[in-house]
Amino acid sequence: MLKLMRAVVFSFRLLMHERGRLIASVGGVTFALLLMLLQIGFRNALLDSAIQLLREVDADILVINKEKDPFLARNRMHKERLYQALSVEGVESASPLWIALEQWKNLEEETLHPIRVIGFNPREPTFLIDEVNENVDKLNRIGTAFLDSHARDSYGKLPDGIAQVSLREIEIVGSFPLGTDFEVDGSLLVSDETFFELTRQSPDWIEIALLRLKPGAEMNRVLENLALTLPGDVRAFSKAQLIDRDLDYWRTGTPISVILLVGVALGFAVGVVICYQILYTEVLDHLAEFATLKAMGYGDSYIQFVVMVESVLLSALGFVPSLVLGSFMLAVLGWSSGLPAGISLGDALNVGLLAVSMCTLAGTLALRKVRNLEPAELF
Amino acid sequence: MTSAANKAIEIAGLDYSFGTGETAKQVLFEIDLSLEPGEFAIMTGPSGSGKTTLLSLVGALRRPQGGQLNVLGHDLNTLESPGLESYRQQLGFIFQLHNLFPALTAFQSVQMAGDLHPEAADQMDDRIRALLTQLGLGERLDYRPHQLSGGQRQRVAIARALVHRPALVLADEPTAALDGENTEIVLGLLAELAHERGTTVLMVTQDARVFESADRLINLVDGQLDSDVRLSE
Repeated sequence: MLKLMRAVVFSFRLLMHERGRLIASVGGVTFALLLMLLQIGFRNALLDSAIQLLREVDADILVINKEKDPFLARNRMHKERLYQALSVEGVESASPLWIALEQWKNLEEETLHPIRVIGFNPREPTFLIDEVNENVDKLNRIGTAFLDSHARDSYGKLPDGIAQVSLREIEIVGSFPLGTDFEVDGSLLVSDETFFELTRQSPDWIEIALLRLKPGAEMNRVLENLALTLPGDVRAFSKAQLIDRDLDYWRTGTPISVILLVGVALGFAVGVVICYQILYTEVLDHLAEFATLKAMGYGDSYIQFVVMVESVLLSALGFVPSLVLGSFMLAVLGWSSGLPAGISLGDALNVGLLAVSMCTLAGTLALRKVRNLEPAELF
Repeated sequence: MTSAANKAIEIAGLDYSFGTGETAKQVLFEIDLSLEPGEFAIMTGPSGSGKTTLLSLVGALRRPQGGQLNVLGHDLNTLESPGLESYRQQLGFIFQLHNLFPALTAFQSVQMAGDLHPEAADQMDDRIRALLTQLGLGERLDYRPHQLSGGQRQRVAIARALVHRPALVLADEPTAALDGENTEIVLGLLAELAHERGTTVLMVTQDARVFESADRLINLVDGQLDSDVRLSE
């Protein structure tokens, strides 16, 4: 144990000795880890933004057009499906959601930007967003809307609170936090009546039916009954099922998610190369000293352990600044884009593991030089 | 007559070549040599005569190609890891170059050798201080190699080779970088180890100042044992 502790201290001393080289080394590892963290942050933004609306609806079960995949794709269904779902045992209430993509005019720059307009019945529970529920009465007046407070700046400022959406004026009477996604810069919440006036859509064709279960109703049984009752053009999902389905779609069914994963892999590869260069140079510079250790009776395993500890220390030293920098950069990105970009504790731990794997792989490659080391070369 | 098993070093018909096939160059020819425990032998001879190769063979840094090589009861012809490592731990190597880690202080460098002998860990730190002090480095225990002169670095390397009281010291030009006073100190240490603790010392040197400290003077010429003189006789 003492020998092990001494070996760790020895590795630490070797790594810390040359401050200039240490700073450059930690900088290199930090850079590679930062690449990975940002790619993971972007991917999180993609996934979170895709399901953020879904998370905020007040529903146990959602009935949607069977072609509506992913959830953000617009595929309507007849409102009759909502009444059919309401007739199923265990369903307490059902409320419709209408969604349309309209053009918001930036009045300062005279430019048009897509915005998602979501219509709902203000008298029925629809969202889990406090800002909406506390002020929902304001939407009863036709021609009013709540604007997404996390929307991008591209919508411009509204000095008198009057916006122009698809050539119609609308009064912004409140806000709610939702955020942007890869389709729109933000969302607008309106009452059903304002929605029909604004979009000219038929009230009979709804986007989603939000179902809430009676207390004690069994979710799986209600889902089975809905599948038996509803026609084949729609499908019913529990909220959790739909979130999982959508996350799976964005994780595996889209090129951008794969591209971001390739980005993580590239960051890993860059990190391995950087770490390898650092550790190989370290080994090469101390080849005679390591050979002397072998001549003294230290085994290959001891030297390998020392280099591997160096690689783990290097990954730890690079991880901390990369986490701080990465979190800061993703926060700036989230603030400027409205995307929910960030790093979860699980992601941070994963990157920590990737950091250790990256450096130990590089250490293993660098150790090939030590394995071939012959102390006789000292003479 | 001492039996082969009690010899510190027993060499019989030892050959060694560098390279293989037509390009092979033989550097040692049929060497027969034995050293008793506690003997202080100096090996000398012209450059290229095979002294250092013989030293590295005895230190198990190279594997014998022909003949027999038994050291401290180990058959070096067949010695493999982990026996190889434990054999090397019984030795004290002093190389021409100090090969000190730049990151380690004089004390820590010597401690690296002490760490291989944890049974003596309690007294090891005291022994390291005492040995470095004896070698004139008592005020420089915390100095790193770049803060030491060439001679001081060499003395740290010597302390590293001797601190664990090895059964056999193999030294390659250990006094080359030392002044007269420090050469005397190092030779005194080696003689003390040999005569009071039974350590066998085999030193390669061209430094005529040190010949009189030895018990034997072995001369190697063109890879062959040219003379083997017992100075104490």
